[in-house]
Amino acid sequence: MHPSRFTHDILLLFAGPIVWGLHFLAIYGFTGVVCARALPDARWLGIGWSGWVVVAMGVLALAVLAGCLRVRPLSPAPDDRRFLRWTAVALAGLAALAIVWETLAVFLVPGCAPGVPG
Amino acid sequence: MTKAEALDSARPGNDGELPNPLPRPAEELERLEQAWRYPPGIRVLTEVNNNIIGVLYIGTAFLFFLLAGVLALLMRTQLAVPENHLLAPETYNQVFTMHGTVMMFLFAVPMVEAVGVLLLPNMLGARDLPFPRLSAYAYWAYAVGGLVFFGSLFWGVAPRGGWFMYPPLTSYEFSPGDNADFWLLGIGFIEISAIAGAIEIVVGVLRTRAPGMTLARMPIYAWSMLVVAGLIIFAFPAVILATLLLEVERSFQWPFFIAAKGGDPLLWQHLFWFFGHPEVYIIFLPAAGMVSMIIPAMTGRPLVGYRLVVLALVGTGFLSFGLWVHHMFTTGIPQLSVSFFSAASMAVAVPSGIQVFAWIATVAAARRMRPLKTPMLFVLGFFFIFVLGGLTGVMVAVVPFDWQAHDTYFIVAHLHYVLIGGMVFPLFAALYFWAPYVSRKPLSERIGKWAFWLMFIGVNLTFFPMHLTGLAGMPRRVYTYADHPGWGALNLLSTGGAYLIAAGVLLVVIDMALHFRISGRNAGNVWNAGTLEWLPNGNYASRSIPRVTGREPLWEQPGLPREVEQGRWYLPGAPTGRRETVVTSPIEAEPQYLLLMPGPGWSPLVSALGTAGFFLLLTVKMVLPALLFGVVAIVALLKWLWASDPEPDHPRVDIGGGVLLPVQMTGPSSHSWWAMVVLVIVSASIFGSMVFSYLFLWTVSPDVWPTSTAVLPGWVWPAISASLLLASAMLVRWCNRRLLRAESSTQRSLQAVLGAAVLLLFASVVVEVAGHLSTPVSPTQSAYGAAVYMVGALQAFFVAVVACMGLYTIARSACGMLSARRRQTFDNTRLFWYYAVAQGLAGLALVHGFPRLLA
Repeated sequence: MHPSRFTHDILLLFAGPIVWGLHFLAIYGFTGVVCARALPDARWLGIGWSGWVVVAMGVLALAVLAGCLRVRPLSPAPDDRRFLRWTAVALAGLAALAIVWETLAVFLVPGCAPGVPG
Repeated sequence: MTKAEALDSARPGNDGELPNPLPRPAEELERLEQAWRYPPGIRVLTEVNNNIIGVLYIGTAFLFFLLAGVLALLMRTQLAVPENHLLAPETYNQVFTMHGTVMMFLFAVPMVEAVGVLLLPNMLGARDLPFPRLSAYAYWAYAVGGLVFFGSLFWGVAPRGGWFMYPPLTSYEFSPGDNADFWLLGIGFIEISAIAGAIEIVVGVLRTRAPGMTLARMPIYAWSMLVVAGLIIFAFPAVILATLLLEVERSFQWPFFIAAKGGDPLLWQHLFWFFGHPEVYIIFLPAAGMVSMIIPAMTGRPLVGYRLVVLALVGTGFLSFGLWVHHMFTTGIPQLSVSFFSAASMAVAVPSGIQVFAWIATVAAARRMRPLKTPMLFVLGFFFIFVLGGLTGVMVAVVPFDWQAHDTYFIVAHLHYVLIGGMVFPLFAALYFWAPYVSRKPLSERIGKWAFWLMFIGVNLTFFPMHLTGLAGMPRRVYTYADHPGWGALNLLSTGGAYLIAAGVLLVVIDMALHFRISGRNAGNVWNAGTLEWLPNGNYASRSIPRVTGREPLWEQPGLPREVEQGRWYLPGAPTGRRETVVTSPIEAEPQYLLLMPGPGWSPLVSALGTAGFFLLLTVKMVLPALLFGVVAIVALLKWLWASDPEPDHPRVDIGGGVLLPVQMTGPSSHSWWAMVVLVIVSASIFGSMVFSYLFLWTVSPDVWPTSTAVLPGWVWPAISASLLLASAMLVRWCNRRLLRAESSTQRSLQAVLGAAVLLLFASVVVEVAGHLSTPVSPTQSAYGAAVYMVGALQAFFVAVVACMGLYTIARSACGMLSARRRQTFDNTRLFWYYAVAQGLAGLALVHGFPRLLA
């Protein structure tokens, strides 16, 4: 097999978790910097602007996930293609669940209040 | 006949026509046995074959399990009654630190890699993993270094800061002496050993599977090891960098973790737990993989939901990286950030649950399970204990609950339920299950059952009461406690339970002493399992390598054991007269080339002794002898490398069924290129952790970052340094083109240009450091200075490594061992060179660009 075909298929297989990882890094890094710098927090519908940015990142990540699923495996064997496709879709589903779950936190807890027992 | 037609004709069902006809030539088997024969006498230490290294590796890891278990008994004896003074506080601190450290670093991680080294080749249908000397090196470095490290207890210099070694407690101010250094440098060889193992496993699983063993037919255990190797590749670099930073802080007073100078102890926690949480899955996933192999064999049914289990393994592997802050819920991190980790902690329950339900469904569909055999008993014990640990895991993932339970015995109970349930019980199941694969006799069912019940009752008796003591407020890591109502009785129960576990383990040791015998022959497929490791085998693995058509080939192709043993499948002998295996494509597993493998040699052992000696002598500040050991390690390494990358002059080899394979291959298809790619990813992860550290320190201490460009080196310094880096890469690219022309006259100019490229690399580091020296910033003054100089130091290290590789390549060229066809050495050097240049450029952009963005 040509290595580029392998790279293509393996990236497709792991697309869901990779998008999740990048999304997680982005929301954690963004929130960390915003909170460390205590930037002014304009609110809309009870949520600060930084919270809306996190929501937007979640929506973007889900859109990228949906886009990844349009890609087809390149492996020549039908069995492999079916397996790769099924696993990629299932992993993307798990990643989507994790992304939604993490984004929901924005609606439940205050942004930068320190998370220690009061 | 085309290759594809030849392959198809070799599939079973085509009139029984197999790749190699009978009768086989008389001398064929003899030649194969000769190639794989163990060296006699003391020279058996030079053997690199996975059968020997794997068993030694497992035995040594088990020894550390026993040693750490003795430490646990000491602790439990101390805690049996209130106000006990059996152990002094100082000793107790060393004992609990070493118990955790040894269990995690010297037992759990090496054990999972050891089992992989032993089982994977045969399970995949390979003769050995692709880098046997690397396995041997990883083993010896670990065994020698680990035993000396454990010995530090007897001299009272063992680490005492907890297995997580939180600064500032472990920094130079509060931990003078060598104790903390033993931890920091002492586990250096474990880090190296783990990475070496991960490289071996990734390349082995993806490239040495039997023909026809596509990704969709790969044994679940191989999937789990692939995911685990990925976790090691991304998680270990964080702890490698963390130990480096803390050791530099201790040795040179560069303040990474000292708050007064802009550092932050939380940086350690971030780096440590970014490794530490995936570490839990590095331990659990292989165990889960073993369970997924044992249950089908014991029930006579294929695993229900194979694809779901693959999904669960991969999903758990990834999500485990999003959990590290759940060890830090009480450190004052913003609530929103904490919530992300809480959500990820709960999300990871989904794939874990999928696996548990797949196992239960397989058990429910069992065809033959009664009477319950010992491996299955341990698996059922695992279900019970692990699920309880998982449930308390969900409890502590809830932030407010964690605030209450943090640092109490509730956490001790949770983590032991998870680790003992998730790893130790499956491991004992695996020991009883796979013993007949190595030993002449299986282990005793009767003793095994006694051992199981003692351990099962013991574990619950030890750790269940800890939930209660924890909820009652008993803190962990205390050497003794006052006689609060209820604490004393519960602790006495826990101590009694610990001795029951010890009795169970002792029975297993006795069972092994009575029945475990390695003699070249094994007990065979006593469980009627379906995967390839149960084929008849010898030192050379199976006599011939079959084409598989399903996930349980031994069930689906009933004649396989006999056909394989008769040599009717691929590669029935040793056509080159050397050790060899078939390298296949990574997804469809079609044969690509014949990999010639090294045989016994002293180099891996000597190199490992050098590595262990280097780290251990450095710990006790014996710098010169340490350097000598380092040189020994490098010389031995070079000696073993020198023999690799031979001239690919062997004609193509017929492995049967009309399949003609080239011997060796260069470029991106070769296994060594793949290993180098993995090494590049590891290096990038280390550098990524450094970038995170730099940015993290900036977020917590912006006041020590420059507020104007006046204290930064002028633009000209990084510009020159970057130009030098790029120029060196261009020269290497030129060499690459030159090498493609097959004329021998090109070698001289190639050597000169490569030498110039090495000098340019060095110059780039010198210019960068000179630039910083021209400013008033120093590495000891603030976290900013420390971070800047550390980025430079890391780059200097990589440049030194690349320079060694460059000089080695020049030496090979000068000896006439480099050509357009014989170019693996050059290709690998080139790949790492480009990486070092890219890392250098990224470092310059960070160190010079980021402060300018702020100023």
